[in-house]
Amino acid sequence: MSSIWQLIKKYQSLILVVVVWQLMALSGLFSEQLFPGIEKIAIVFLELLPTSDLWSNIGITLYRILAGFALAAIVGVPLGIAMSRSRTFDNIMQPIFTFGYPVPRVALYPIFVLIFGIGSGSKIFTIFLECIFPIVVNTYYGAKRVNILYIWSGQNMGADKRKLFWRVFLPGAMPSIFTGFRIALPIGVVIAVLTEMISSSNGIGYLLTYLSASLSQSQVLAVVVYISLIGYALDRLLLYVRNRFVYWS
Amino acid sequence: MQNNSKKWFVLTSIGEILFFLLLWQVLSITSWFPTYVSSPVEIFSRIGEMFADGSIYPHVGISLYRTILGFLLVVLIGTVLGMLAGFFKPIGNFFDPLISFFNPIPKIALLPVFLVWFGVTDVTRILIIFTSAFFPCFIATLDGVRNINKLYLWSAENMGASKFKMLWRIILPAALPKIFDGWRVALALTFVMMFSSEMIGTSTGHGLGFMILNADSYGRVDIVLAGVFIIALLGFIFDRLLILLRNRVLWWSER
Amino acid sequence: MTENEIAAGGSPLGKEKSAIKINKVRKVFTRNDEEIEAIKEVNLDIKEGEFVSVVGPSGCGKSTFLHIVGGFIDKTSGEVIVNGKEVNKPGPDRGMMFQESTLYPWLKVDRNVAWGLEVQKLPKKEIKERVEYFLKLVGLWEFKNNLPSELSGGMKQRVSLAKVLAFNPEVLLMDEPFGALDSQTREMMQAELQRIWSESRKSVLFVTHDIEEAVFLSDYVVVLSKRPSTVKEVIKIDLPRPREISIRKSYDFVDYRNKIWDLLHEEQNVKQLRGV
Repeated sequence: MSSIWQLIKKYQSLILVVVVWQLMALSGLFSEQLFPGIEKIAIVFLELLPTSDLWSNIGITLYRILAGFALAAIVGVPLGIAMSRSRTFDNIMQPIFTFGYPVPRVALYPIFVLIFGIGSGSKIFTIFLECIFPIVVNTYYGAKRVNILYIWSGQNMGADKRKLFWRVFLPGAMPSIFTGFRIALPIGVVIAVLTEMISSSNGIGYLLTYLSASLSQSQVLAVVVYISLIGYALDRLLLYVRNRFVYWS
Repeated sequence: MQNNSKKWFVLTSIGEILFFLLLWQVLSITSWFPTYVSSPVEIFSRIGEMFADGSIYPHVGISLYRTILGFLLVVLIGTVLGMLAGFFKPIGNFFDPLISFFNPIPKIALLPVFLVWFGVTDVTRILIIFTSAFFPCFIATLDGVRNINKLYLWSAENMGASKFKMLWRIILPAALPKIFDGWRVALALTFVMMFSSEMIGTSTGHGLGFMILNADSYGRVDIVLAGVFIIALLGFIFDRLLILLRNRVLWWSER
Repeated sequence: MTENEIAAGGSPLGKEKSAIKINKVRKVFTRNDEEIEAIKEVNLDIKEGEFVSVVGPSGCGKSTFLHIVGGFIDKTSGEVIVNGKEVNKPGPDRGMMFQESTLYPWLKVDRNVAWGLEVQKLPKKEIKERVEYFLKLVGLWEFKNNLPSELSGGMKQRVSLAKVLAFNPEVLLMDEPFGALDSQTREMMQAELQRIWSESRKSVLFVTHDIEEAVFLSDYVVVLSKRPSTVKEVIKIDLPRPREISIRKSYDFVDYRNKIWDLLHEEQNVKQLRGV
């Protein structure tokens, strides 16, 4: 009994949100179309669950997120490491990352649509461009901050450059690389949904705008829940991978 | 030495930008680029024209108004709530589940929801800016306050400081480096959301996002790129202003 | 002297062969276009099997000196000769132990100790044997499957010692290895180091700011002057071995301690600091 009370106390704010929402829905101040109760959203959520419409769109969006993110990781990590190790390369690349970081790169999306077409290409490239910045910056600082004594101690035992890189330097930079990944992946989700909302003929973002045109808020909110679940699942997945790779911290 | 490397950095940056623009120009002239991508000369002359005839001002003005209003709301509400939640345990306990529940939601998905409720209005736009940028600001503040060295607080208590005084004189300065980090992330998100909210669901109106969308539908790539350039410039300038403020206020904090 | 003779515990003192020879080493740093002379001239001759400590006033460049011997930073002039060969780069002939643990946080304790041996491409069986031997020597065999983050500061430094000893360097370089430990752990580690050293009889160059530590462990204590450093004095510590912890209370020990203390404080000029 007391443990239930504890739970209620712990989650009082969430319960409050639910109660207020339900009261507003039941008050009749707004039409049911505009302000559905949570049970309505749940029903629509379950109705959508077996539809192929939902899953094909989720699949397309996932493909775009993962492709853009993977490209950013494949290019970004070596780039960040190269910048941290070569003074000249750092001098050349640093302005791009200093000036490009605060710029909303997604604004270039219309141009990418012109170049890559309205399909996945333009979306993947925009996701790539947004994801690569946090990955490069975190890799760079992580690589710079690898404890010099780790390197010295490796040299002391006669390790050559290659061994030092793969067995000391890279593991030392790994935690920061994953920090960059964890910042980049949610951005990838946002950009995927956003670009699909701006112009697309498929994807979960497209589904969202399509449904919102019908002014049926319960459907829109149900899709919002799906999108949130995608974001949540991807983050968990990344965390799982991280804990396999960076088990020591 | 320090000054030298800074000068160096500025010089290489300018050199790179010029080199890049020149390369772009040459590629356009030799038509290596697709013809629909305008050359830098075209884009900059378009920008010049838009400033000369004044047609750009309403767009910049309305976009800046939305951005600044949204950002100020985030800074005000996010920072104050974050500090209270960090300092007073019960408030913190109240917010914790809310944050861990709502933070992972990709806030952009809420834009259609707000559109249905509030229509294509500034309320929708500022609301989506707020919901996106609030969380990083709030979480950074909360984090900064919770991780303050306990000895600072003890020594203040020891000298008889009141709760309010501690919040204002000790917790705020000590957490400020973290808070600035949060503001910086929030600012970047504000710009992305300003642009997005102007691009989605708009048919008429003003704003840089709308200008880009509109020009895009007429195939005016030069205007699209001019708009992108102005948004990029604004994003950069505001970020620099924030860093300038940070260096002013946080002269004692290294970086 | 061959390894067998070392293992047999042949008396290290009075041997003529140099383990480490430092000839006129000088170091000038350039910072903000300004030249700072850290080390003016240091000459040292450490014979095989000797335990030599270097003490000096704060900021005198004793760590810099050791890093030069280790080959991690370049010297401005002079030469460092280890077992007859001049050295300029880091190498496995000089086992280095730092103040801070350099155990790799991503490797378990036994894999950390094995690291240097794997780099040297020793046979698997020998690696296994050596890891076991040296982890048992420092008394941490039962922690072989732990990550470094699960060990205390003192335990980490014991593993670091095992790691350095395991790849059997010709000389040991130690840079305030117990400096970050609390005083009780430090005393225990000093006794432990003495025990392990008397078993292996490696030549050791040991940098510390702790006078008692230097006297307790060493055959010779080298006192450096303040920056730019020179060798101010070399003091032979003629105390019987093995030394018990209680030797710190003996008259001779205190005598050595006071002598070094005086030398250091001449350098630091305490009177000036006090404003007398």
